[in-house]
Amino acid sequence: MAEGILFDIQRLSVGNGPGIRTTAFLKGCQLRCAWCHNPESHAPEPDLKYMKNICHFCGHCARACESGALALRDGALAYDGAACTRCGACSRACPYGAMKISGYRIGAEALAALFLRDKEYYDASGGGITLSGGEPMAQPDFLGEVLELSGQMGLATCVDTSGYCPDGAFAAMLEKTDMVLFDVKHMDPARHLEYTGVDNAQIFQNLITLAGSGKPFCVRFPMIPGYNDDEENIARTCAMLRGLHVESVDVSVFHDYYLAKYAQMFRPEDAPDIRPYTEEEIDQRLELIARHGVKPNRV
Amino acid sequence: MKERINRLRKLYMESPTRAIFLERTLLLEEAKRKYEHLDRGSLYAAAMAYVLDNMEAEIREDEYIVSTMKQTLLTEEQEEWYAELCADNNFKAVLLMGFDPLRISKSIGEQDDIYYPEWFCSYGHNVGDYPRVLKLGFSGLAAEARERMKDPALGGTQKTFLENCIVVCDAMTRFGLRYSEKARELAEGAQTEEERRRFRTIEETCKVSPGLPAQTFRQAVQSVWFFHMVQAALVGCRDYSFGRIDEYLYPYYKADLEAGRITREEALEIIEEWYIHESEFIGYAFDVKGMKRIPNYDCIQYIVLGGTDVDGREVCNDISFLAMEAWMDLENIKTPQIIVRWFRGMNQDLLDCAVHMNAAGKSTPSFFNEELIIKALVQYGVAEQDARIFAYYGCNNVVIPGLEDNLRESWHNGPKYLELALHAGVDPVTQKRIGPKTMAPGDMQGIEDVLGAFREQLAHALYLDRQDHSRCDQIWHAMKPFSYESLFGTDCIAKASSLDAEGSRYRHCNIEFMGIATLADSLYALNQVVFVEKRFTLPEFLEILAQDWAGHEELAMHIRNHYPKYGNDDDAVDIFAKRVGDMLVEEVGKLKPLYNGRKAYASFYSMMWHRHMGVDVGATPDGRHAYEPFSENLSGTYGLEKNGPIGALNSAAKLPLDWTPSGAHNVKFLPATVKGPEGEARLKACINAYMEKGGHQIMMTVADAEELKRAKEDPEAYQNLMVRVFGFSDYFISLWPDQQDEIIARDTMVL
Repeated sequence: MAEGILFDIQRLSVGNGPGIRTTAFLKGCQLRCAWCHNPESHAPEPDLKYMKNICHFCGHCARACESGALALRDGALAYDGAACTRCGACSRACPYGAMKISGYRIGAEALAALFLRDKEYYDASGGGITLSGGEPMAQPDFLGEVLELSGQMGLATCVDTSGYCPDGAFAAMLEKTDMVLFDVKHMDPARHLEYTGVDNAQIFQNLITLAGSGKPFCVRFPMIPGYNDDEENIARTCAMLRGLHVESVDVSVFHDYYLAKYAQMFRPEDAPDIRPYTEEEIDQRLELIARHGVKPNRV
Repeated sequence: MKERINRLRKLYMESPTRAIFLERTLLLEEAKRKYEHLDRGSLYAAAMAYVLDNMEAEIREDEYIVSTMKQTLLTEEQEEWYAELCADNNFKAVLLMGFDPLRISKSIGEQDDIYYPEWFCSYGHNVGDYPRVLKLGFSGLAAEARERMKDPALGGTQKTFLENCIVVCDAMTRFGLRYSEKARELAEGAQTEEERRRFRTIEETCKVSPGLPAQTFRQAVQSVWFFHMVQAALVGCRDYSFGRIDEYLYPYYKADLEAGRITREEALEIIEEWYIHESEFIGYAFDVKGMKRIPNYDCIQYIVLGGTDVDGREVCNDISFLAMEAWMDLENIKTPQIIVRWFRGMNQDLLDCAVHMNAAGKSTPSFFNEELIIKALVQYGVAEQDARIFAYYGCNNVVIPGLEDNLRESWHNGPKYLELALHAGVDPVTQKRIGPKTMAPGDMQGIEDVLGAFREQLAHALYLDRQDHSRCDQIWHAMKPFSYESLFGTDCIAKASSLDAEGSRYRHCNIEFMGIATLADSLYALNQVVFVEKRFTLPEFLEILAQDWAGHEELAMHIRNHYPKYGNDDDAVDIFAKRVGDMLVEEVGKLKPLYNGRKAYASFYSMMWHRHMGVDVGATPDGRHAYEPFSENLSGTYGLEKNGPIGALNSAAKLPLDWTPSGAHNVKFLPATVKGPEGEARLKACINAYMEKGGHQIMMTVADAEELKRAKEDPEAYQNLMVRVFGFSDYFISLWPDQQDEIIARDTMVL
């Protein structure tokens, strides 16, 4: 049985497909989007997260650490990520819950069993389960098995993907899921490479496959100030969507609530420095999308 | 909302908090002196008639629905006199209700500044058979009593009871007619045509209400208002409920509509005025200026909507919708609280409307699972056709309207019983023995021994509870051979006996059991620390609790933050909640009915007593500090329900809720979950799914800015609030302060 690694499970999750859903966030992603709000989703291994505002600076974590990765110095906690083995001893030692290991391994069956607990809620709402990330396609065996097991239990399934994966893996996933949420980030290959670290050719190839597959799907556009919200990119994106007979797009508007998260991961300096939109700016851009013939749904 | 309604609302909002219903107090005192020589029942009836005949029939500006308590501010001199009067006369609810069988709580107070004469007042908390009295009118009821008097087999007490019924019915009829007369006089002197029309309407309405059978919707509402106003403000006590208004008022509305006597808008206006009058005597204004010193202070009045009738047909009509529309239209009112009887296949528009109110943050209606409640009542011995008409009065107490006497409830301090079980029956807080001598903690070999001792402590408390209620019932029986409430008892005239005697078909007492989550979490933690991990022996661990975790703060925090907690759908700890819940149901089931047939109903409920009674309980093994509140109703410990509403609901659904017809489950939703049509659909699905899973009640609140401010100040207590934006999620307490402020100020929707 395949085992995967998650960084979060949300029950009654909102914005990850229709109805009431349980969403599992799979850890690890090949993309490094310049605006990423989930730094803990990047690495395919566990990470340490530290909530400073409930820390009592008691030093139990540092004493419990066998690799010398943590030290209490001048009333602050210092962390050496290279030395840290992510063993979780600090988290277990912290009485206050201020230290958390983000990333835990779970078998496909155990995850499916957890999904099943809320079946009545999915059934009552037309909901189901969503596998998101990170990038769920980065753990294809685990993903496939969870989808199969969930399907056998009568749960409606959904995969939320960046679309960055080989054709074969994508097609295999499509066979097993009931629905797909698909991110479109930038139309220009060079810009896409610059902002996300990967080329977009494979992504669009998969989007075309998806559009022709007959599977229900939803395109999502993370709208980021100064990155992909210029008229040219919006026009091209909309034209491409119209070409695929996609009538509407979910627009996820940039926010900077991630600032605290990067700090929790001891890397505040990596937090993207992007100024959030004003409401007026958001409305202008949504209008622009509408003008280009695609209905924007703000999510 | 009509301008007239707005003015009425303003009038009530500006009423002074310190005002009392002085007229009632003075008249009752006069009446007592006048009729003191009579037997208890006749004194009550004569005094009530005296007050009704002498109260001013006041018709205020803008009113169409008349009769209210007149509010008067006392002079300093009067205040002294009033204080003495209360001290001399008041009945002691604690003595008469058997609140707390082990007498653990010292915090149960009495409202000593409210005039509650023992010879007159009741404990309130009832739902009368209003439909019956609407159909008969008080004159019809008196006629029934007169007819009944002809029975030669009647005993003396029975005859007196019927005579008293007639005295009060006739007085109620005269009471209405005095308003009619007053309106006639006012109409003659009216300055404008509009005013004259208003007085004429009142005159015509009160010619009928409440003496004659109601014919129109307006008369029906006016009659119901007379029934209720007199019950709550004059006879006096709190938490009477109107019962299933859509079922019994709809025929009047329908007939009016068909005859062209009323429009939908007019009916809405009537209901709105009714709600405002009702808000006037719940004891405080919209802006909670402090409780008023009136008999029904701080009370909650319910209306019950929807569900099926005695024949299994759905009750869902325009009154169901108007009752909710009026609530939304008036904004910010506190009463009536609406209860919707949920059932599989219920009218979806009704459910949508109720869900919409909740999503808008109104925290009403709450929902009761009809199928489960009926099942529970039948299991407790109520005939099915009677169980089908169930309703509720505050707070969340089940009743069969017209067939039951007033509330009996006792509050069972679950965490204290665990404390006693861990100290062989001695209260470690006071060092007094208040429970049976159960196994010494040093001899306990495992969690089963703890649970065994807990069962014995619980059983003992329930035994004492029975003694209390037996005693209380005998007092009530002797004290209330007649009561105004008995006029609304379906069988009282037929039986010629009051609700407190043979007039009630069913009698029950709610065993309100508190702290289920505190107990489950404590049992898990105790088992883990002492018997599994063997960090301490049981006596050592108990010593840590006795010292309130002094020197072991980190252990308390570790238990709080690392051990599974009830309210998260975690079977490892929920199993303890289920064990305790089953134990409660079993032990309650073993209790024999009292001499008058009163049965005990199990319930997981704390209302606000988890705070008041928490002060009597030392540190508990779940990491709770001494004297802190424990968990509320069916909810998990504050701040530790980290899996959201579904986790909370799934944990509760594991309890034997088909044996608890009363009680409540408050579930907190985050604004983002319920916003927009999709959010409302989610909320609705949560209700449906929980009920399908065997939930019995759900009341919803939506987190608001105030709560977030508290979370910002006290992050450790609010570790469960999540910020979620499109795949992003983080704890609210981890956000940076300026972002927290931003969310508090304008963006609660990301929560």
